[in-house]
Amino acid sequence: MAFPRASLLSVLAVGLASTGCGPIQSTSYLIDAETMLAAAKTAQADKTAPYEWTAANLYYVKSKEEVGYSDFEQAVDYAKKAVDFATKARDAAVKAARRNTSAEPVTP
Amino acid sequence: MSFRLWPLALVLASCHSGPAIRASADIVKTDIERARRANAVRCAPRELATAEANLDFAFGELDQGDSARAYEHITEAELASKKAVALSRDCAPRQVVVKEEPKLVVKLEETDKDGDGVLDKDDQCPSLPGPAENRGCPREAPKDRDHDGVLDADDKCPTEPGPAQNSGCPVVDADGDGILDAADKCPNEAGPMQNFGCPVLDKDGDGIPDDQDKCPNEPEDKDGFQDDDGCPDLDNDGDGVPDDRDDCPMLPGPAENKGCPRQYNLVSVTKDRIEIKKQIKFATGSAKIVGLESEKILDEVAQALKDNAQIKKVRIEGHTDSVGDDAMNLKLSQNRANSVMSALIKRKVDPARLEAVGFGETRPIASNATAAGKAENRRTEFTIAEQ
Repeated sequence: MAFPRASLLSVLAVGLASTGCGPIQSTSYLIDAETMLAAAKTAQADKTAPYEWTAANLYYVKSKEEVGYSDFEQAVDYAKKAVDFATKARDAAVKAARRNTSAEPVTP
Repeated sequence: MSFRLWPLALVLASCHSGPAIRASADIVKTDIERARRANAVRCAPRELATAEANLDFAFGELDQGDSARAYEHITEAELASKKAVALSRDCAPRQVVVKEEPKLVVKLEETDKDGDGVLDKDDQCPSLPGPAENRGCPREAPKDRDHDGVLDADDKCPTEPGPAQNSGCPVVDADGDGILDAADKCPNEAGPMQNFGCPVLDKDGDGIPDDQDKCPNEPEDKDGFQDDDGCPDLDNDGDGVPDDRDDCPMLPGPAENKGCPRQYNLVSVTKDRIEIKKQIKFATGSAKIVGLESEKILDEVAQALKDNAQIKKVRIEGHTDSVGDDAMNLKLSQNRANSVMSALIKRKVDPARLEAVGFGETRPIASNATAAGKAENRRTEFTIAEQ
């Protein structure tokens, strides 16, 4: 018995969607989270935005943990939160840096 | 697993049952909210983040049906939340208690509106602050109304400028004599410094100050005769003819001759004597006057004395030459002087104006060695003794 070609492509698409999309998505969000965490670290968010920095790291670690359990949906969810907190941490750190810079006395 | 361990497994499983974890999660949630209200974001950011994240993870695990992992997370969340609450205990913004101002219950009757410490009832300037010693009025700035540099308080003449040396009063010289009134004994009468600012009085106006004027009430006549004594000399020559009617005020003369000296032929009146141009002749060795010429001389001498009333006394002197005895000569000269005086008295001359003195040969005026000299020595002289 031979399967028609269109039916084969449909089966492949459904299979990819059900098995391979999760890891790709979670990996992509984890890379984003990693990048944003690095940016936040560069902005010294660990010192100036400890709440956001801590939360971002916890979600990042948990996301990777969920990937290990192949719970990609949860991993993506945590990775998004990690990106979100890392972004906030970086923004807060940049603002704090600006405040400190403007507060410093100007030396001729 | 043996059948004997099943009950223990069930007990352990029941310890981490979903509802128990959710109950714990509610407590953690409450603690997290408390911590947030206590500003844990600032004071315990890591603990707060850990509590919230682990609470989220716990719910996630519960949704996945993994109560064991959910329990781990909820335990960690619980620890973190309690820590956050503890760290945030003194972190919340302090409450500001606004107390209502106490209402005025007692109205003070003694007020001090200007706040100068002097109660209004004693304050003469209740709306202007000022010291108590000034009755609550502001102490005025020192004034110097006349702008003379001497403050009014020290200025005896505050409205008239004057130097400090004069107590702020103007320097006054009322009489304009150049001597300030303060040093002027007569501030209203001009006078020289030598007289302490007082006028030098000259009541008779003769230009001679009274203190030097022998006749302060009679002006000096300034006629060139004794003009410095301040006394008028109305008859300079003392001839009894007032100077204003005396044609010769400096020379004595009878009024009949307008005060000018009469011109005599045989005599002349000088300052100290009445000179005779020819000698009166006597009989030899006698006091008897002889000769018409002698009579004429005596007439003129008598007239001269009458004409010159200023002559108070005339001394008639008799002199001889050296011939003969000295004593005799002296006696003879005295007798001859007496004869002349008698002759003048006969001619109405006041005897009080006459005196007779014989000098003998003691006062020769020429040599007795010659006849001519002896003739000169035999003489009669009229010396004015007082006038």
